Amino acid sequence: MHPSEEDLVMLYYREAPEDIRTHLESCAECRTAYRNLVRVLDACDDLPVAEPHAAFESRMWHQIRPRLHPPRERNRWWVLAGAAAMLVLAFLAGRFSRPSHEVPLAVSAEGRRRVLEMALTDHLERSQMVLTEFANSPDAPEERQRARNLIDENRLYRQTATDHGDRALTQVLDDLERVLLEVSHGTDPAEIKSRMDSESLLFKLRVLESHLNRSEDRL
Amino acid sequence: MEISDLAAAELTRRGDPDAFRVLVERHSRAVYRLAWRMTGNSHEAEDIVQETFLRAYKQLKRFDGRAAFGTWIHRIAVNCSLDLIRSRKRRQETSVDGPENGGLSLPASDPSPERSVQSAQVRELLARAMQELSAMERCAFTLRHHDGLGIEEIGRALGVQPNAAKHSIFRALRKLRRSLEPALDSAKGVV
Repeated sequence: MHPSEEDLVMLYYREAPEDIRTHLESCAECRTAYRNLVRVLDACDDLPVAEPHAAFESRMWHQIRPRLHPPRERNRWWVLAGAAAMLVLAFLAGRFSRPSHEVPLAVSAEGRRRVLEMALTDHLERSQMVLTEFANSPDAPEERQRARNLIDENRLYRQTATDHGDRALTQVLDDLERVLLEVSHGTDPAEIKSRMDSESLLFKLRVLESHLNRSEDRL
Repeated sequence: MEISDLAAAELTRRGDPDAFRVLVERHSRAVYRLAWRMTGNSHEAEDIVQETFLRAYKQLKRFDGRAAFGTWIHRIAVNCSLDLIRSRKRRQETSVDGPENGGLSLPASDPSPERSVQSAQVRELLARAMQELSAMERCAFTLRHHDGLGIEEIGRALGVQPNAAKHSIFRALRKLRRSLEPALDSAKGVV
């Protein structure tokens, strides 16, 4: 039996069983079919690529450099994240224990918002790292633990967003929480990745993080 | 003496973001080429280069030097490209800007002007045909043909079963054959 076109394609990419090649040695018709295929595939090597100009590397670096935070700064972020978590807790405690007009937080509303945004940005960044690592190495146990560590924090942010009537943010954090829970519970990685893809979760997180970063830059 | 990728990564990890410059300047062009082949668009390719290196910077502590930095960043770039293509699809942008002929570099070694014209036509047809592939077909074909990934690996990168990845490659190739074969047939007659 003659090999199919698909078999010949796989032969070109050296992923076909050896008997396909053996068949070609004795079949002129298939050799011609293979030659025609090779002609097209070889032509595909010439796919033109728009080369960037000579100073491209330097330009890229100058665009990337301002967005790199050295580790020292990152440590400060962790402190801020902790402070923000405390603020959120205080905020929620206030919401549930007193009438809203009596909440006596000493920090100004603007200051509170800034700290919250910075902490949320950090949370989103860490969540992206965990999910990206999980997508690349789904069997790594440390990602499950990292996901577990993020769940409580995420719940607080989601609750705060709900209380403020921010439905878009609530939805993203809700999606994130579900995926973090699944990662931490060891749900089938293919299922999780499929959910992440169908919900465009990483993209949404990046958009949100970028929005928050812009907001911080303006302040 | 040039600093190695591993040493640059280590210095970056120790708190010197400027050491990262070595890695950006050494690998950004290759990342750009990959991104351009995946998207066919120079603006998106530049966005992908930036996103790739920002992600790499954030994840640098996971880079242990067992694989070459180029291989590691290549994988991140593939993921960034796929994310962008998916987001583009969701935004229902039906097409990207066409192949950018201004940036093409045509080889000058063809034996005759006629042959040279024929080759340029084939390349133009190829660029156009690639633009007409679906995002999945383009990515699967690019990863197989230009980046040399195996079917299993492509399936993993695209988040689909290997069989689905393989069929995307076949569909892409059928479309490319339809576009290129007439031009290749006529080019055969020209010496």
